[in-house]
Amino acid sequence: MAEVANGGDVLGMFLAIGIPLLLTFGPISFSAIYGSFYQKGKMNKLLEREKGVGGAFKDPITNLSKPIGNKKILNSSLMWESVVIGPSWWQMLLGWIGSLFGGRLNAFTDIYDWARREALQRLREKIISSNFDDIINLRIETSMMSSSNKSKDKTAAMEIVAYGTAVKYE
Amino acid sequence: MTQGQVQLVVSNTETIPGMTIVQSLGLATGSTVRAKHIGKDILAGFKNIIGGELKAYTELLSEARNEALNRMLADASARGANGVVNVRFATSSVAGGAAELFAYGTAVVVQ
Repeated sequence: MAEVANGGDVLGMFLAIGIPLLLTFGPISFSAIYGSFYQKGKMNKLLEREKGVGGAFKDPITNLSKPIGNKKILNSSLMWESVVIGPSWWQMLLGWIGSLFGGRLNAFTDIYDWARREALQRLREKIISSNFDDIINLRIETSMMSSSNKSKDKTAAMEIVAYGTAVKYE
Repeated sequence: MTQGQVQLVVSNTETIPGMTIVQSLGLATGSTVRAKHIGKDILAGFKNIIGGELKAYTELLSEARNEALNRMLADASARGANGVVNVRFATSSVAGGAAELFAYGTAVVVQ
């Protein structure tokens, strides 16, 4: 009888400490672990797609205002693609801690790098699917979408838009 | 890109490749202000836990940017232009959760 009560006490203690701990650190550790897996998966997919279209040496995108060489242009059109990106809670925590000391914030570097490359890759795929050859005069704009500091909304979002003139050669 | 009956040539370069500009008709602008949708906001808040792309917002802003661009084209064709050159996009966040999307360019007559 005493042993059963003891077992109940241990279980009670375990629950009393375990549940608050889980509620406090559960979401943030979920964010850290699952978030990093998820973002790595996305990055790997992007790397695959970059091998298929574009890549470093046959990239159809330039930011020159005229294409290189004397190629005759048949037609052209404005094209744009955008990505809205939000860092995970874990990354925001790391960023907040990092901002106390200053210096390099590796937590954000990866995700913003991914977003910018994703926008460019979408642009590449878009011009190929709409039968253009190259993009000239590329511009990349970045804007914050987060709301004012006073609001309770904690969503942090950044929008990246890449736009340029798609051209078709003769 | 088409707007109504008139076919407009749009480019963000200073000239339209393969065509000559005959006349400039001034600045054509178009803008729209969009606010975040509360339902999408909640979903985006969940997505924010693991980070990554917030697709609901991407769609929202794409739609809004298309509208701003179409308004700019309407402005240009109202001036009698058949092309818009040097198009630029600008975004600014107005009051909490709302974004203004702005597109501007020079309305021109091309041949």
